[in-house]
Amino acid sequence: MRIETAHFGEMLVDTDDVILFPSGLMGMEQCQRWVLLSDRQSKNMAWLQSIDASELALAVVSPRRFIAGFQARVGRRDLEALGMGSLDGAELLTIVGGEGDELWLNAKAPIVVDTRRRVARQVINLADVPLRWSLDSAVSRLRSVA
Amino acid sequence: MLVLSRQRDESIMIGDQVVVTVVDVRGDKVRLGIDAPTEIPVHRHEVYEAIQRENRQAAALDPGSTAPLRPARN
Repeated sequence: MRIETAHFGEMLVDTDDVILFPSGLMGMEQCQRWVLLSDRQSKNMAWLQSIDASELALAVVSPRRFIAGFQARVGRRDLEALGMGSLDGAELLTIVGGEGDELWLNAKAPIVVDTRRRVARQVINLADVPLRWSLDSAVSRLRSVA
Repeated sequence: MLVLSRQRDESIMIGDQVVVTVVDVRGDKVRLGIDAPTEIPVHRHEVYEAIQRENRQAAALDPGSTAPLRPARN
């Protein structure tokens, strides 16, 4: 199906690629249908594009790629809402935020994706992590590896 | 805002699916029990607001700012 995107113009996506967020995101509860679009220049990040609001797209990364030993602990309620018993087999994504030259990950409210059922939820990470996890040191390490 | 007084072990119903119970009162801290279907998210207000703010801020992120996440060219 054709969708309008925030940063990539019009795109053709498979209905099988749609990820359903039954509770949307916090503050965006009405936006329940999303697709994950690869970033054209980086395999380290992707764009979570809303299908319901075409101007809405969030940069997301796999937190373990940037933060060694990233801990995620999710409450029973969040897991139940996802229909999961644990995080095993789930994909974890964190939203990238930034201002000026700074970039950070929202480590406190990551997104858990059940990739098989194409269902996801923004959850509260009960581990002791900041809302904004600065990417400075992680990024410079990444650049030297590349 | 609707303001109701409740004592320990008393409850409030919100709609037909949500029950809030005063589990304990100690000094100025109240422990609340919330019975709600898991489809209805329940959050501490300030936590919800902070995440809402972060989500909105992230939605306004310019793709160009994510350049540092891309591998450096050799």
